[in-house]
Amino acid sequence: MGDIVLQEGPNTLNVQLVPIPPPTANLYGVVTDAQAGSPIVGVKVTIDGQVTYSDLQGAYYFEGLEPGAYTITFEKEGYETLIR
Amino acid sequence: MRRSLGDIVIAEGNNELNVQLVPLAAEFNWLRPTGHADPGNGWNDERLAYDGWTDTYAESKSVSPKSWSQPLEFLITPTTVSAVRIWSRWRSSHTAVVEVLYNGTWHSIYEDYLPGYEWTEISIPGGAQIISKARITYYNPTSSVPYTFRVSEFEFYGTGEPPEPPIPPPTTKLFGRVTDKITGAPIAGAVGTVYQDYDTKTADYDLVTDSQGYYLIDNMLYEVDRTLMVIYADGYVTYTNENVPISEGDNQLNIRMVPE
Repeated sequence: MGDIVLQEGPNTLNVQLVPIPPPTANLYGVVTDAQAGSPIVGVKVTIDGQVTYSDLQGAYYFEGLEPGAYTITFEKEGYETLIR
Repeated sequence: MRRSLGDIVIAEGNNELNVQLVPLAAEFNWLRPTGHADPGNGWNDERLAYDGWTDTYAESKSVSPKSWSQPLEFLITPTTVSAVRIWSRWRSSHTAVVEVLYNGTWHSIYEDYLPGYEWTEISIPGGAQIISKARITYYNPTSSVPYTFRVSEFEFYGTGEPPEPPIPPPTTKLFGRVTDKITGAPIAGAVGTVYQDYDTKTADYDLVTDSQGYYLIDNMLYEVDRTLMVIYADGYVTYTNENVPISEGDNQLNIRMVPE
């Protein structure tokens, strides 16, 4: 016993499917000076062509990434560039 | 979305990645001061002690026997500094004291005779410090002779940007007209030479008068020990001046030559 009742003759049933959002991933972290331990502001962080810069607390944030494997680059004048 | 193939695997949801960046080794350069101070009002031409030229100098006011000069202070944007160097011009006996300011205190880094006409490099004992000021003071040890002390250049060895090219010294010119002492007529084609002695070097310049008897020597030295001028012209007694006064800027010397 279901909800759809078919009657004699042709029956039309149009339906819409709601897409499930693809899974998303966020990436965040803090960049610090390896010697002084202090946060570094203005570090250019690049992942898959997207760019952001660390804030006064050394924090950076990416959202809406597709889960997967990435290369991420941290660059700042006066520091060795870090590629992970 | 194109996915780069890297080492960081980002899973659905929140991912935390904290990193440390390694500072590059700082590059040290010889840096000229960005300014000066003369708190005791005991110096003249202070700027010439950091204009990039050892030919020019700051000079102290007269320092009495058995007395210290006023300090000449050199300023720099706070910078990690490991040494300073000085080109002094004083050869007679004296004691120079060089101090640097860090942690809010003056620290003496040199107390000795400072050789003249060469760089003296002085390291900061215990290694580099963040420094914004240095100063030099001289002592006149004589019992009766007043001294004036001269500092040609002072530089910091620090982690700042390399200095701009030195400021060119002001152009100094000597010009004038050569005429016949009797008739006052201009003498064209007179030839001459000007010699200058300064420090341990000499410079010389040739001149020829034009049809109106005018001559011009550009870009001369000034504040030299001596400037000597000789001019020859056919039919005239050779003109010699063993001490032409040359000061910064324009110097005019008209010459009247005596017929033979």
